[in-house]
Amino acid sequence: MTPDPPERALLGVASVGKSFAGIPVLQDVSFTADRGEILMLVGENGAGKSTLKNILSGLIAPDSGAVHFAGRTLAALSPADADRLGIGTIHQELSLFENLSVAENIHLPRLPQRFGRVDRKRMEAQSRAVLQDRLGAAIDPWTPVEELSLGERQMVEIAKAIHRSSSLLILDEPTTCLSLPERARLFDAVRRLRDHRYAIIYITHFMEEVYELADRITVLRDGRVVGGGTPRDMPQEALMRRMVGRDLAELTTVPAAVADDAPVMLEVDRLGDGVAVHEVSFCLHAGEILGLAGLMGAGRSEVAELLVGLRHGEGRVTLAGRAFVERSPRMALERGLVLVSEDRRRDQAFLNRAVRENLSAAMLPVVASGPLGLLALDRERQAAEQAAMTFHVDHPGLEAFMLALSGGNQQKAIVGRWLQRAPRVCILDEPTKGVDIGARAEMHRLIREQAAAGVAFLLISSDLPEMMALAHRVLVLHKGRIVGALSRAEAEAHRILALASTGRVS
Amino acid sequence: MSGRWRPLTRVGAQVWSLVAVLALVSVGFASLSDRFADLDNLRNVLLQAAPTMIGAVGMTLVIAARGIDLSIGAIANLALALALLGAGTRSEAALATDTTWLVYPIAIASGLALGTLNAVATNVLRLSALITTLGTLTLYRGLGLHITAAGLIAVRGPILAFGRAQLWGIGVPVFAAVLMAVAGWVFLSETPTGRRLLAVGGSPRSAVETGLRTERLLVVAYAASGLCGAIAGLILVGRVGVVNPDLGYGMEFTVITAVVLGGTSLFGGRASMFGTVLASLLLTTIDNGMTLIGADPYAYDVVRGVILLIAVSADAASAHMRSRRSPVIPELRA
Amino acid sequence: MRKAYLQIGLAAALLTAPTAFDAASAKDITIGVSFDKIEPFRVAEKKALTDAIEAAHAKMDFANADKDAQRQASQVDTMVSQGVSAIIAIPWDIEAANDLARSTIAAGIPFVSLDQALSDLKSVTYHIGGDPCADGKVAGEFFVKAAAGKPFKLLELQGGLANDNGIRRSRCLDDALKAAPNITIVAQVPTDWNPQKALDGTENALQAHPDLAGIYAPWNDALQGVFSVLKAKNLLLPVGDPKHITIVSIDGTPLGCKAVRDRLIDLEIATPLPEMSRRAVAAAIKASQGGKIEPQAEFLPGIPYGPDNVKAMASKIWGCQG
Repeated sequence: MTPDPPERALLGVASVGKSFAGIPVLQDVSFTADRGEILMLVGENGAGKSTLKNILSGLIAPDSGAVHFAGRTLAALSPADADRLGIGTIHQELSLFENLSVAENIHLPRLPQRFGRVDRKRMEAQSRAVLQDRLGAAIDPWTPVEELSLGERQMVEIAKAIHRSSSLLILDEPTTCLSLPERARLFDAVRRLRDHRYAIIYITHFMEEVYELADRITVLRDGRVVGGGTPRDMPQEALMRRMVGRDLAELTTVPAAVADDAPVMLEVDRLGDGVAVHEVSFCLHAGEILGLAGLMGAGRSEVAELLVGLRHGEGRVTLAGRAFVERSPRMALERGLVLVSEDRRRDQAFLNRAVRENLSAAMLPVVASGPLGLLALDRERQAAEQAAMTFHVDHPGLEAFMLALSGGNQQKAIVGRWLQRAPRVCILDEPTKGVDIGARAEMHRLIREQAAAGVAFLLISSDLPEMMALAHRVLVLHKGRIVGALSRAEAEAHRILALASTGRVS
Repeated sequence: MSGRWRPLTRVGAQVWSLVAVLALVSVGFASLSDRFADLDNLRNVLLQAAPTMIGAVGMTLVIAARGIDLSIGAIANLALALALLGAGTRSEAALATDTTWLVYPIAIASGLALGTLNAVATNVLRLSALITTLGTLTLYRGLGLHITAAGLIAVRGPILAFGRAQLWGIGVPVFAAVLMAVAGWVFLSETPTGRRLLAVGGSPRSAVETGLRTERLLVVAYAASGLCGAIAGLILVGRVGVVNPDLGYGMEFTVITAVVLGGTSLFGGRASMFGTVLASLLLTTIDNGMTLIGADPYAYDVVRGVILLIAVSADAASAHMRSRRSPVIPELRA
Repeated sequence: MRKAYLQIGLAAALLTAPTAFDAASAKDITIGVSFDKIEPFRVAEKKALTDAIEAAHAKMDFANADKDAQRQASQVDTMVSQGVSAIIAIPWDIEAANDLARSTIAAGIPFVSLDQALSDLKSVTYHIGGDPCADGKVAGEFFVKAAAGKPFKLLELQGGLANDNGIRRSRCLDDALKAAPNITIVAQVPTDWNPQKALDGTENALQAHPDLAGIYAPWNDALQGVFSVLKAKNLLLPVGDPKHITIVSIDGTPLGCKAVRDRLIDLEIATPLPEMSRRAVAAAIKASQGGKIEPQAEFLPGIPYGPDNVKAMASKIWGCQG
């Protein structure tokens, strides 16, 4: 299918380019989107999807090129233009007012009024019309948004967008935080909107979403359009190659088997805090990757926090054969137990410091030498170089700022920082959340290699394919209790999901 | 239809606890002084509370929009100094300055203008309101001192009318305060602009993405605060009969205390006009009662400080409760 | 020029123990003056200082710390680095300014404190101020006399709770009243020297005690607030009226003098501002030229006057002139 010439479609993006601080983010990007179709805009993180979205919603102006909309040509859009033209955007981070009601959120900034007062009757009727008739969502318009689940908030965000926009809807990674049923409801809503003659641009990097929804696909890589077409023209393999620009065969590698005589590294007996975690017991062998699955709020991160002493509770923990009683993050480090949490990855990148310093930060006591404990720069450099190699951190030079690294490489550097200390047990909490496919595969390779080298991993992840690809065994938590332990062969998505949602195998 | 309408200006737990504290404090004072529970004293308390209450109404709007106006007392000062400059005639013989009715429009216009300037400065400089209004606090006070030559100016004539007039035996400032509070409440909970202001306070980022004209809304809030500062200044000067360099000094603290104590969140997005009114009354009642029972002068600040701490911890506790109430999110993807 | 010095000597001799400073040449001398704040009384003090410095043919470099000890310290440091010959300061923080005074003196620049005494008098080159305690005592004795042994309810407005003048004007009043058990202080209202708070306090005290007999307003600005309340209650009556409430105030500003002349207050205790300023300037100049200052601290009691002798006293009260 050849796309319409840009001038003819509802939206035509023509040769748009944009640079930040001299670095091109978008180059010569052209595509179209028309009413009654869903255009999937796919690409890895950093491919330029967000910049494109921001240009279309009027938040930033392109440096070159033009945007054609409904027969008009604009060099740049302002938010007011986007509003006037009926372009609605659902950003990845929801832009809702938690303190206000659903109805107010849908109507802001233009609240209907009568005699200078807010017209609540009309607000309620219009909110119901959008929520129920358009989206099929049963949400009371007067509920404060802070009382809604994330899925419901996403629906409100969409309701808000379609209340104001009549023609084009842009959704940026809308399923990031949604559960399965919520996701299904969202897809329903998106299809309904297409049937209501909306043009929809759906930004994602999840393959299954692409093939479930797409009418057409446009692939971005490094700020350029590198492919496009219908789903039939573009099978998954081809699409992924386009996105990443190389083969991803290693994705399917099976982790090395755990030796039969592998020593137990971590033994946990009736761990609990009386609130979020109850009587959790398991053991973890050297070289084993043990998955910890569960819904958000099931107590996964809390288990990790209990283990390293960030949270107080009862239960016995044995670490490499010795009881671990006085648990504290400091003691945990000393005993070879590290936790790399989501927060840690976000907070621990010293973005405006050299890559060298970022890599050696956990090794300073080792690197420091001499009677004064001064840092030996060459030794530090050596250690950093070694780490960069071991943990596959691609960098433009050890002295470059951390900022110059891609998000995936930053994450590898931070995880690497902790693995450098040769821990016995490493707890990873959502190690690839928000990372693109390439970086995810690299991170997986790193985890497998380190496991093969004898590190025991406790892997907490909401990403079931990741869990199934990496873990030797999977424990499923439900309301703070372990409700199932599945071997690699048993660990199928539907079984994990059923256990996690209901606590039983259906 | 609006059975489930839950305005953010609703009477919340904070307000009930304020009512309880106010009742408790009143009963306490009444048992220690038989002159406390007395109609005359009620009139006094209301009249003494009026400037704080009016200032606090304006401050509520600013804080609801996640701002703060430290310059409100300085605005009271400068607005009155400007009013004297424009509509006052120094009479050397009487050691006093005669005024005309023009002081009112000048003071009010000055209050609005100075408040607007606060908003513009915050918008243009893109600094936190705390910093900008700390700056304008110094600037306005400095200008006020300059205009009045830091002198104590006894005033006569129409400028005294507003602060001293009575209606049915009750001071006119009391009616003004009630009127302002009701207007503030209607504005916040019933008008689109008021709701937008709360939206900006709730999430400034979302406000920008939603296309709210944040900067204009801030002008509304700060102008209102400046207006309230000027009116409070008119009452103070009307009552005491002097424009002095200390006029409005420290008013920001009393007023912000009243607002936060009343249940308006310092983090924006939640306002309780009714709570503001009650808290202003409570603060005034404490001072009034302390004098009536002849308390040790060093006890005044201790009692006020304890109350402020209670207010802040109540605010934090309710924020904590809200965060605990946040939904449990199923988060598995196949 | 000789005439000016003669006057200083005369005035000094008239008032208290003579402190005859050498009439040194003051050419090319700049005195750095640092005020804690600007308010009506300070304006008067500044004028008195300006006059005294002009009379000594010196120059003045003025800064206002606006109730900020940090600011005062940096302003004084700046003056010292700009080469002033001496500092005359009204300290804002009577604790923190000890260090400021010592470091200034260590830099070879005399530091004279005016009006507000530091917590450690030894840290300054010279201190000259009023005697808040003596003033409070005179006020107390006046109330004792006015009560004449009969029950007497007194409202005490408290200036500043953390301020030397405020504390001592209050404490020494209380001490003087101990002799008269017939006088009850029905309320001590903290006001931060703010007339609005004086108004509220007076209103509340009158509410609690309609039979109030006396009001102690230890600074003149408070009178405006007091008068407003009394006027509203039809109690603003001249001295001598049977329902008149006895009022004593301190400062001696034009407004205070006017209140005395209008017979609205019974006693006013005027701070001898011009004399204080003259002595401060003379000491600053002398010390900057290496002279020894003796005594190192002086406290000048206020000059009491009332409606009956205001005519006779007017020439000695700065607020009654002009």
